[in-house]
Amino acid sequence: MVSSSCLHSVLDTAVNGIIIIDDNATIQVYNRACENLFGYTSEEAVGQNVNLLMPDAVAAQHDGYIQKYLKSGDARVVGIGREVVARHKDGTQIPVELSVGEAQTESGHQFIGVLKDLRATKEYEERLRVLQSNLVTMTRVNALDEMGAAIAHEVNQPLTALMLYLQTGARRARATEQPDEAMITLMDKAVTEAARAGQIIQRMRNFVERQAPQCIGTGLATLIDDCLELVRVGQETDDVEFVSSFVDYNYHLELDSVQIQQILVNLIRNAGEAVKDRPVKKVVVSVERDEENVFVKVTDTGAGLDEDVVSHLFKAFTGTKRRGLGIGLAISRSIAQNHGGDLTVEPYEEGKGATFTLRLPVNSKATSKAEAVV
Amino acid sequence: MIYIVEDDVSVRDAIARMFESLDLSCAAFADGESFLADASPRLEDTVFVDLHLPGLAGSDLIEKVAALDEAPQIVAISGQPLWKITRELPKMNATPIVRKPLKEQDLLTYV
Repeated sequence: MVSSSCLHSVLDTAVNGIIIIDDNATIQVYNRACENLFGYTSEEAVGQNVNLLMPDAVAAQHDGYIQKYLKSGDARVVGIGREVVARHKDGTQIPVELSVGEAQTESGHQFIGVLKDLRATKEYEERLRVLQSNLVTMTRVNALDEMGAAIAHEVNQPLTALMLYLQTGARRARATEQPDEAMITLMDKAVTEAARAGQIIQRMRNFVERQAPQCIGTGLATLIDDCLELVRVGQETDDVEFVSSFVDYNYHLELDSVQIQQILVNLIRNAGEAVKDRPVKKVVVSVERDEENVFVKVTDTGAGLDEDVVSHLFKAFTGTKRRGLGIGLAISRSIAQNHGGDLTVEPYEEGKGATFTLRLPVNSKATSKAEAVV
Repeated sequence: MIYIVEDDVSVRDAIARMFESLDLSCAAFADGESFLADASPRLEDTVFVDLHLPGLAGSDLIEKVAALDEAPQIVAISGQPLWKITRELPKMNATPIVRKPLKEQDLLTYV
């Protein structure tokens, strides 16, 4: 037989809230974790109806639930357990995971509730969800933008030449002594179509150029931590070690955090892929600073990138990955350049993994001045 | 005389042939260095300069040409995104810019 005081010390040691009620819903036992969770002391809570701890809508129904269960045995929560919303003494709502058991005792039917505080978990999940959805949106928008910009840029030269050749050809066709009307019509049509292609390219470019980076002060260490977390969450296995060696949480930088996050997540994710089949699976993010720039380095323990790969690494549509368009690095570099920085890869070294360096100017005004002088 | 400094072979050829077909005399160069070495532009000439050139940057070439005693009219051509062009602007001193893709009218306006 366990003594009552022993039982109470067990109850009070429990991390989770534990409540015992009788079949009238009156609180019999209310442990210390509950006091922290709900704000009521044990003295205040014991003897009250347990609906004291529920939001009004549920509280009004709760006595009915118990009666119904006792009559029909139709369980809503007993033996099942689920997430419910509880109410703190100050009125705020608290998400809790509730599991309920029951016992027949000498003094009647009793229900035992165990409550786990989900607030920290919820906040964490919410924060990650927001981060992820921002990133997904930005990645999509940027991928489209960059594809647009890449196409616009690549197609520009041949299109310009084509247009001028056609216009010159059309003029020649007109200038001959016996103009071939059918030929002239065809040439004119071709010019119109080339012009149409040019307009499409221009529209695409205008769309892309409207999006300038939104720079605000951002804690760099937190931003890096967030990126690592985002990548960890997306990993199928957790045997890759992702670490940041930068812990200066007071260091702030003017940048478009979502865009920079996109670059880093892209780099860290790539690095994670590169170490998948390696004996040591590690990705390290480190930061170096000088007077004008911040260098964020992503280093992996992969096989490294030889010169051949490096030479076309940042060009769109040339990736070696089977998934995706291979425009990730091209996008990342142009975002970095939009910030007045750059994205580079360290030269290949036998036996070492790859290191990508994201350079960001400490002060974009100072940088543009320096560039104007050069 | 019309000068063209453009690194893309096809674009350079197309521009040159377009001017030739209008009986305008022109000379084309693949980079700024060869232009500075071989051309002697005068006040009444026009020089089209692509901003994206190997070696001497287009904006630097423009700066040098504009500083000549009898500086010709200079027109910049660019297929670059706006932010890259904007970066070059301080050196270009209000030089007009024609953006690719372009039509013959875009160039003929200046000759």
